[in-house]
Amino acid sequence: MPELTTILFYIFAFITVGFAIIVVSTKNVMYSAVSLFMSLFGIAALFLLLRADFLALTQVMVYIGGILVLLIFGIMLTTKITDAEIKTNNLSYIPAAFFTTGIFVILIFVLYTTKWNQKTPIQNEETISQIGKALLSSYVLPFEIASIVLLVALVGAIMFSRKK
Amino acid sequence: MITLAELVNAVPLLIIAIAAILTLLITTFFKKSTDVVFAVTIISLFAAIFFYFGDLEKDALIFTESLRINMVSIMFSVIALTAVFISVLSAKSYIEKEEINFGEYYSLSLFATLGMLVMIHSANLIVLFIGLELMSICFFVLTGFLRKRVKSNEGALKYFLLGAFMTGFLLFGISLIYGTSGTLDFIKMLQNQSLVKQPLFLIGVALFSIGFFFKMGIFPFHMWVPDVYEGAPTSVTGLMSTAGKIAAVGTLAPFIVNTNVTSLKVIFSVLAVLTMLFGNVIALSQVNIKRLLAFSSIASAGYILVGITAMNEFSVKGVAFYLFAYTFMQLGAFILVSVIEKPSDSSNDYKGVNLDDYKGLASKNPSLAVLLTIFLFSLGGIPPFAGFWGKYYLFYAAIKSELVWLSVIAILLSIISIYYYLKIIVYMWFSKESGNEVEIVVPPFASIALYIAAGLTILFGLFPNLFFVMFKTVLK
Amino acid sequence: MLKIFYLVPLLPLLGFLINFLIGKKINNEKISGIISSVAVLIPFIIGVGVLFEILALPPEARTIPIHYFSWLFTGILNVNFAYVVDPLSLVMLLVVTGVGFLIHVYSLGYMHGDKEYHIFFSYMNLFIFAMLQLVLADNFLLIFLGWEGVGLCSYLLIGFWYEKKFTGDAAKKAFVVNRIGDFGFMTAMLLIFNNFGTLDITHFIGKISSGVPLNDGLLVAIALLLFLGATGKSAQIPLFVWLPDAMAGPTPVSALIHAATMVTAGVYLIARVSLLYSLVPLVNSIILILGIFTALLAATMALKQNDIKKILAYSTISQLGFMFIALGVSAYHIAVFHLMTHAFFKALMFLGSGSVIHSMHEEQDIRNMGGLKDKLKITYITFLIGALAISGIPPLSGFFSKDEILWNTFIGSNPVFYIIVLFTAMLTAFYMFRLVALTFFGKPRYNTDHVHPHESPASMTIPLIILAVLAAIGGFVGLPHYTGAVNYFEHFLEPVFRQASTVYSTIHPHGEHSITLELILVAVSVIAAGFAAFLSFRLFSKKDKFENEKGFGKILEDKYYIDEAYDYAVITPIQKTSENFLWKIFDVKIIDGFVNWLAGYFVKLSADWRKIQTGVIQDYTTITVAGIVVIILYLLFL
Repeated sequence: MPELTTILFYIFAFITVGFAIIVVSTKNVMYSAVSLFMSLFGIAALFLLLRADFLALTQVMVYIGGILVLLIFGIMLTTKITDAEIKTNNLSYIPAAFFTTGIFVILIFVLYTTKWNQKTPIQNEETISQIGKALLSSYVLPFEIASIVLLVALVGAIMFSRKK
Repeated sequence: MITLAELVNAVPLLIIAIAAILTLLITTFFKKSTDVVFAVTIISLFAAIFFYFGDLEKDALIFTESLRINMVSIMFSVIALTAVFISVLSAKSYIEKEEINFGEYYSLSLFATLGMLVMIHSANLIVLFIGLELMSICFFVLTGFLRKRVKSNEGALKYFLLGAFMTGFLLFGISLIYGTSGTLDFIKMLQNQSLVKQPLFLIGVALFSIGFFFKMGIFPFHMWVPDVYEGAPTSVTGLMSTAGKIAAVGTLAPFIVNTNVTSLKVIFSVLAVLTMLFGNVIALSQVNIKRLLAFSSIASAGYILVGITAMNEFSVKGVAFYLFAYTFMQLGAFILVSVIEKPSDSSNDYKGVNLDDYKGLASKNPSLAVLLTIFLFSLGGIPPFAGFWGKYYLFYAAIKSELVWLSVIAILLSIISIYYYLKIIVYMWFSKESGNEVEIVVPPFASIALYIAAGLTILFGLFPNLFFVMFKTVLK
Repeated sequence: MLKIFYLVPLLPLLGFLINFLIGKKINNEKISGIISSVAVLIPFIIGVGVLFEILALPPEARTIPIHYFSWLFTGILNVNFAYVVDPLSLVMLLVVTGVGFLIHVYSLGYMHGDKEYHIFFSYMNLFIFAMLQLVLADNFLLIFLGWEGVGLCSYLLIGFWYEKKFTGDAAKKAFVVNRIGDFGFMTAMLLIFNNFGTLDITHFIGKISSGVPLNDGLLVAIALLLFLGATGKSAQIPLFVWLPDAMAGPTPVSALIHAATMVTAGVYLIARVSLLYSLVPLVNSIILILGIFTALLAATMALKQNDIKKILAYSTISQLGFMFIALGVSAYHIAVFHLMTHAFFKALMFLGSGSVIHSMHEEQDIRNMGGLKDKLKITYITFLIGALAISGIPPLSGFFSKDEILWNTFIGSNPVFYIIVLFTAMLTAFYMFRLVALTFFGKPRYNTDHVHPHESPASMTIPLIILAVLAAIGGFVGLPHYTGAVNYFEHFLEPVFRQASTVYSTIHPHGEHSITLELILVAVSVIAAGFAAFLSFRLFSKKDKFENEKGFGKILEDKYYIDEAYDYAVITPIQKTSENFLWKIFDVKIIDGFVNWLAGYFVKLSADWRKIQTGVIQDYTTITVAGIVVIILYLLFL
C-alpha cells in the first residue's frame, strides 16, 4: 500500500503535466490560459508536498494571483482574441517529438541510475523566516542584483512600448 | 556584515552600478540630456578600468563569499570593460544617425556591463546566474532598439525566445550540479575528486557549459547569432560579439579548465572543430558584411574553444589574450561597418551593409580602408597584428595538451577565413567603385575609437608580452 | 642620461607618427621639418651624455645592457626587448643621429616646396628609428627588424618621387637585391637559434667564446650567411648593383641612407659579432678578397661616370670595400673608424652635390657643369675638403683611416693585396679630382642664359660647413701609433673587440714592425694619392670637349656590363622559366587549378550549408535540442 503522500504526488503531477499539454495543444487562447492556471496550481501543490511552504505560497501569489489574472484580463479586454485561432504551419512535430522524447528517456534513465546526495528528512517546520534570513544575509548580493534585473526588465518593456 | 574592505574591493562594480542608475535617473528627469549621459558613461567605464589596476595581486572573497576578486577575474573584467568602453565611444554617432538617441541605450549598456562583471567575479552558481540574466535581458532590449526596423524586432524576439529556452538548460545543469555535489560554490564543488566521475554531475556540467556555448555561439547552439547580429543596431552587435563573449568565456573558462575530464575534452574538441568548420564555411557565401562578421565570430568562438579544450595552465591566459586582441579587431570592424552604414527610410532595409558597398572604398576614403585592412588582417591571424598572437597562444595551449591534431585542424580551417577576409580587402583596394555614393563622414568619437582599436591591434601585435606584463602574470 | 635612454628610439618614432598622421593637417613645412629634426637632435644629445657617462667608467664596465621588457614569449623562443650600450653601438648611435640631424636640417632647405614634405620627413624619422633599432639591439631578431625597417625606408625614399618611372624601378631593384641578402641573414638566424637556442647576441657570443675549434663547419656557415646579408645591405660584390640605381631618390636620402648610415649596417653587423669572424679565418679571407675586388671594381667604374651622384655612389661602394678589407684582416676598430670618417666626408660630398644639383636646376651631368667655384663658394670649399679627405691627404680625417687600412693590409695579408689597395686609393683620388675639376673649374658648359647658379640657403650650407669641419678634423681621435700620440678611438673600442683580437693574435703571431717601414708606406701612399689627384686635376680642369668613350673606357663607362650580365645570366632565364614553365604550366594548371577547385568546393559547400540557417526559430530549437541529446548520450554511454 503506497503512502498517502505518494498518491497525492501522482495526482498533482498528473494535474500539472496534463494541463501543461492542453496549454500547448489547444488552439483557443482562453482555454490555454485557464489550463495554465491549473498547471501552475499543480506545481504549487507539489511544492507543498516537498514542504517548501514559502515557494508554494509565492507560486500561488505571484503566478496565479498576479500573472495569470493579468493574462486573463488582457485576453478579456482585447476584442476578438478569445476565439482567435493560432495559425502556424511549422510545428516540426516529428523531430520535436523525437528529441524531446529522447531527452525524457535519457533523464529518466539517469535519475534511476544515480546515487543521490540525500539529506536527512526535514522536520515539519515553516521555512519563511529561514529564507528571509538567508536572503538578507548570505544571499544578499544576488537578492539585490535580482532587483536590478527587474528594473532592467521594466526599462526594457517601457522602451519597447513607448510611442516616439 | 558587509565590511568597508569588501566595499573597497568592489569599487569598480559599484562605480558601474551607480553610474547605470544615475544615467537612468538623468534620462528620466532631464530632457535632451544624452550628451551628459554619454559623458557619465564614458567616465565611469574609464574609472572602473582605472580602479581595477589598483592592487592586482589580491585574492579576495567578498559579500558573504559571493564574489571572487582575483587576478583571473580582474583580467577578464578589464578586457570586458575595454570592449564596452570602445563600443560606447563609437555608439554615440551611430545612434544619433539612426535616430535612437535615447539615454536608456547607455544605461542598458552599463547594466549589461554590471551583469558581466558580476558573472566574471561570481564565486557561486546563484550569483553567476543572476549576472548572466542581467546581461542577457539588457542585450535582448538593446537588440530590439531599432524599433522601426523589422529585422531588429525579429532579432530581439528570436534572441529572447532562444535565450529563455537555453536558460532552462543552464538552470537544469546548475540544479544537477547542486544535486550531485551539494554545494553551489565553484571551489568546493571541485574539491571532491570522485564527483567528476559521476555521470549526472558531468551532465550537469555539460548543460551548464551549453548555456555558455549558446552565448558564445558554439555550433549547434549558434543558430541565433547571424539573425541577431544582422538585425541588432551595429553598435550593439559590436558590443554583444565582444563584451558578451568575453563575459561568457571569462566565467566558463576558469571553472571548466579545473575539471580536466577526458570525456568533456572530447565533446569540446568535436564542438570546436564543427564550430570552426561551420562558421568559416558559411561565411564564404555571405553578401551582407554583418552576417559575414557574425559567422566569422562563430569561427572565432571555435578557436577560443580550442584553447579551453586544452584545459591546462595556458588555457586561461591564451583565451584572455585572444579575447583581448579579438576585442580590438572585431569591434574595430563593426565600428567601421556602423560608420559606413547609412540610415534607410524603409523599415525593412539596411543600406551600406553589403559587401558591394565596400568596392572602391580605398579610393573614396583611404584611411578607413587602411583601418579595415588592419582589422581584417588581424582577424585572419596574419602577423604582425595582435590576432596572430591570439591564435598562436590558443593553439600553443592545445599543443601543450597533446592536442596537435586539433591545432592542425584549427590552423587549416582558419586558412579558409583568409579567403573571405581577403575578398573584402580586394573589393576595397582593387575594385571599381559601385558608383553614386555620397562621401563617408567619420564622426569624431567613432574615429577616436577606431584609432584606439587599430593602434592597440598593432601595439599588441608587435609587443604581445605587454599584455602579460600588464596583468603581472607570466605565460609559463 | 641612461635613465632617459628610452627617448632615443622613441622620439624618432614619435616624429614619424606625428608627421605621418597629422602632417597633412599641420600643413606647415617649418613645423613638420623642425619636429622631425628635433626628434633626431635630442637622441644625439642624449647619446653625447651617455658617452661622457661611459667614459667615466672603467673600460671593462662600459658594456651596459638595457632591458626594457620581455618582447615575445612563444614557449620556446623568448626574446627580450633589450638594447646594449657599449662603445661600438654608441659610436654608431652618435654617427646615425649626428649626421642624421645635419641631413635633416639640410633637407629643410632642399625639400622646400615639395608637395609631400611631411611624408618625406616622416620617412626620414622612421629610418632613424629603424637604424637605431639595428645598432642598439641586443638580439638578432631585433636587429633583423631594424634591418628590414631600414630596407623598407630606403625603398620608400628611393621611390619618393614616384612620378618618375625610373625611381620606381630603382626602388624595386633595391628591394629585390636586398631580399637575397635578407635570405642569408634569416638563414643565419635560424641556424643560430637551432644550434645555440638563443637569439641574444650576448648569449651567442658567450656560447662560442670558449672551446670552439677554428673554422668549425657550422660557424663558417653562419658567418658566410651573415656576410651574404652584409653584402646585400652594404652593396658589395655580388649584390652591389642596386646602390647606383638608388641614387634616383632625393639627394639627402642618398647622403643619409646610401652613404653615411644604412649601407654601413653590414660592416656594423660583422663588427658586432667580431668574435665569430675571428674564429673563422676562412671566411675572413673571403671577406678580404671580395672587399678588395669591390673596392677596385667600383673605383674603376667611377672613373668614367658622368652623373655626379653616380660617381659618389660608386665611390661609396669602393669605400665600403675598404671597410670590408679592414674587417677581412680583423682590424675591426679601423673598419669602424673608417665607417665614421666616411660618414662625415661622404655625407658632406653628397650634400654638396645636392647643393650643386639644386643650383643647376636638377642637372646631374658633370659634363654640363664647370666653373661653379665662384658661384657656389661655400659648396665648393666644403666639397674640396671632402674630396681631399677621401683621397687621403693629411691631415684630413680620411688620411688617418685609409692609411690604417693600407698598413693593416700590408701586415695582415700579402704585398700584392697591398699594392692593389694602394692602386685603388690612387684611383679614388683620381676620380674624385676629376669630379671636382669638371664641376667647379674650367669654363661654364651649361646654358648661361637660362641657368644662373646661386648659393643654396643657410639651412643647406650650415650642415655643409659643420660636416666639412668634421671631415677635416675627425681623424684626430684616432691618431696612428707612429705619431706617438694616444689613439683614443682604438682605446675606446678596445673592450668590444678584445676577445676577437685575442683570438686573432694567437692565430697570427706577428712580431713588431718597424716604425720606419710604416712611415715609408705612409709617405708612399700620400705621394701616390697626391700625384693621382694632381694628374687628374691637370687632365680635367681645362677640358671642355667630350668624345664618346672607346675601348676600355667604354667598358668602364658601361660598368663592365655587369647589369647586362646579370640580366642575361640570371634575370632572363628566370623570367623565361617562370613564364614558360612556372606560370603557364605549374601555376596556371596545377596551382591555380587546385586552388580554384578547392575554393569552388568550399563556396559550393557554403551555399549548401547555409540552408541550415533557415531563420525559423522552431528549426533552431530542434537543432539545439538535437545537439544536447547527442552530448548527453555521449557522456552516458561512452
